[in-house]
Amino acid sequence: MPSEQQGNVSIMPTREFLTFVLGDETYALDIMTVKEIRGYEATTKIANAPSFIKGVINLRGDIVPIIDLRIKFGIGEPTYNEWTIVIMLNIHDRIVGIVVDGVSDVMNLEDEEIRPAPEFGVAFDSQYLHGLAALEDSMVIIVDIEALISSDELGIFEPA
Amino acid sequence: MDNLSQFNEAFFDEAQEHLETMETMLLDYDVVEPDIEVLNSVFRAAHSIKGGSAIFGFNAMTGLTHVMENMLDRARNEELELTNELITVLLETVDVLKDILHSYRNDEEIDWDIIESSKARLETELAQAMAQQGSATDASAANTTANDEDEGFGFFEESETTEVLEDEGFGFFDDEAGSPSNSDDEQGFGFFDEDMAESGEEDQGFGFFDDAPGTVAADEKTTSEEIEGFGFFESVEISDSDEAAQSQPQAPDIGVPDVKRTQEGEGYGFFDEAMKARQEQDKIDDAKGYGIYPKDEKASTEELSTATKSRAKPVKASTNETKNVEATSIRVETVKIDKLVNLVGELVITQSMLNLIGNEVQESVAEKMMGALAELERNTREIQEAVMSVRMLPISFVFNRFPRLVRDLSTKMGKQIELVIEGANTEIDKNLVEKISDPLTHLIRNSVDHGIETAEVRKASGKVEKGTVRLSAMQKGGEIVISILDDGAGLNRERIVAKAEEKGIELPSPLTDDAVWQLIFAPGFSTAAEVTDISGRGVGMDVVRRNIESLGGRVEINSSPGIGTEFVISLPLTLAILDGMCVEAEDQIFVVPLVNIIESIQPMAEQIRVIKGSKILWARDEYWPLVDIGRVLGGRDDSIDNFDLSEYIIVLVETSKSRFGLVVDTLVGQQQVVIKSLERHYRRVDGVAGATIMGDGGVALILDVDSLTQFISSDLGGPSYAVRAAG
Repeated sequence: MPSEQQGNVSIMPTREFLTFVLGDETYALDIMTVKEIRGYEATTKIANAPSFIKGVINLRGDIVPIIDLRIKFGIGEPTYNEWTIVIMLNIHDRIVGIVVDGVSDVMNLEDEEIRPAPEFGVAFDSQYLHGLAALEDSMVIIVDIEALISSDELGIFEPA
Repeated sequence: MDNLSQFNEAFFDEAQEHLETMETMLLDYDVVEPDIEVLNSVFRAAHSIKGGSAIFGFNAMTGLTHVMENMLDRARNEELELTNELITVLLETVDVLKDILHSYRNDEEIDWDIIESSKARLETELAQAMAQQGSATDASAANTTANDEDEGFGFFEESETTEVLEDEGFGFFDDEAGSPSNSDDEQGFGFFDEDMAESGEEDQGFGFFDDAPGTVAADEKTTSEEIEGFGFFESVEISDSDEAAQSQPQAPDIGVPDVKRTQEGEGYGFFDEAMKARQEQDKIDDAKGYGIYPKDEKASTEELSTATKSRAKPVKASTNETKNVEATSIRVETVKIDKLVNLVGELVITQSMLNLIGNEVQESVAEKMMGALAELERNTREIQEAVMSVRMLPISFVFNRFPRLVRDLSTKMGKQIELVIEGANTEIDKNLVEKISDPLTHLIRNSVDHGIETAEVRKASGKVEKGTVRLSAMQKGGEIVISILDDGAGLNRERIVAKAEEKGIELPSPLTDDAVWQLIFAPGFSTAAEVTDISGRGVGMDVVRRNIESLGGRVEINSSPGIGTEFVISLPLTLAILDGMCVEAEDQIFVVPLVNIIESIQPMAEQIRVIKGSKILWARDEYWPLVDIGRVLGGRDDSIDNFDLSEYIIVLVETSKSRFGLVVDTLVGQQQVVIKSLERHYRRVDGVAGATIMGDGGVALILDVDSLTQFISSDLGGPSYAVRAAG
């Protein structure tokens, strides 16, 4: 749905993004997709699933998959402790949790502040990126989280 | 009309119920000893649909029900004797109405041709029947019995002419009207399920009509008038009911003057055209469910502001004065119930969490705590049972369509078949009701088509000419067992084997009877010497089994040559909760559905054999291939072929396809679990049917024993017995 997403961008001049940390890099995703943020808890492993799918948890009665983006993109060390954070996302009416190293802030960005992403130098394929934005003196990578989560590459959802 | 659209759904629901009522009632109608109450019920249902459809602008239904109502009204006024043929026509009309309703509901194009032709057909039939049955009718015209309604009718032309007292009515006509018409066989059937079957007459009756419709329409108009007449009242009434409020009059009508009752009279006056709305009836019907009403109607009517008592049929009025029973049921959207069921599932989980915590309490409060927890547990269980029971429906919701099916089919095939239904009150989860209907239909067709022989053959083999198909349902433990038993020729072992070979279906190796019978579920299998349009294309039986298995059920076949065949379907009571055995493998809990489990054993070393490098188990006088849960689902890399299996537990399981053993670390215990979908937020996983939440809040996977068979790979002599190859 990248195209749809971009459509939204042009309509809404300012949007809020949740920034999170993977390894040494700071990423951001549209806060409207975030359902909640919670600590990491043990998952029930799913047989024959790729390693980045940690398993499923019980989110108040819903059986929800947990994905570790650090494993998927080879960023940082996949460690799990009391500070490990899971961002629960609501994407296309499904709930998916992503494991990140930390959640830092909420930032407001205007469209013109988002610059196109470079073709290289980022762990994510550029089709899952909206672009880059400056945060004080560092760069934030804006992820198109809907496109990423629903991508066939991740294979979380049944192929259509 | 926009503001009406919100009521459309209610109308659809009601109309659907009315149509079903009509069908059931028509099927029950005894041609020989007619029960006016039944006719009245059918009439009311038709009337309600007519009124409702007019209000909401579903004109296709209005016209047709109108004509139908005409015929019914004559019948209940005893001007017309309903013959089997006429009932067939009426049933066909009900079918058409159902189609129309479906079209409206789904915003589909309405097929006016069909409507017109069924109208024409009804009218022709009516005209013919009237002509045949003679003059009696005319005479009666005058009578105007006590009922207001009657009078109302009187006005209208020839139409109905009136009502004869019921009692007398039938007397007039001696002969059945064998009208020439033809109905499709199909429809004919339903009516008399049991009655007919016994008598044999039915069959014949039906036989007359092969094809039906397409006749010329008699004049609709006459009929319509009557109907409309009725309409008045309703509209009036309507005001009370919600829906009613909106009614609008459409029909043309005839002002009916008079009427003995003033009230009515007024009623008429107001709405000249109005008509169709027959809400009262609707109300009544709904309130009670169907059929019951005599008094109800009365009562309800009275309540209506517009005092239209008149409507009550004569019969009823006279019959009893019993008080109206208040509505004992309400209509609830299924989503609400589903939500409730889910919430209760949560409650059950929370309760078991509390129990876990409670067990750890050591202090002085421990005793009180335990007492309270026990109380909570009991209440929770009761709530759960109560909520689950809301979703339960009697299986008659499914069974009720079969008398007609059997009647249609047997007529079409020239067989004499009686369908006996037992245990129709057995309750079954609503979701199952919807899903079990197709497989059952197929199996019954199969019994009628392939199972029961023709009368000549039966006679020749010394059986009674009339075959019997016995459809029964019962609850047995945590399962619903549905049996379809015919007293036909039984399955032909040789033919099945030959057919399987011809089709290239692999034969199981110990070729037991059971194994042979299971062959008919193989894709593409059909033993019918020739394909009929009823069955025999061989597309069905494998689908039947698949459908049943997808519901967590299984099918078994028992058959004896010359004596008959029985299909036994076992289904879980509900789709939401499952009795399972919790097992542990690789530190994870898995739930094995109890229905699949034969036995759990701790194998002794000598029970383990190795074939082609794979371990198999010798138990219960047979070899059991093994599926290593720790490896297949628990993520262990090592194969069990490298372990001492006597330290493990093997759970022997069976599915309709195969029997094998699950290797697990330990048994944890038996437990009821609430089934949660894994697909809701994730995707399907091989070998896993779903997930559940355990008392500690963790997630456990529920095994799909059927799909675990894929993890058995190497051959063990037969297609269904295979062993997982060593790593």
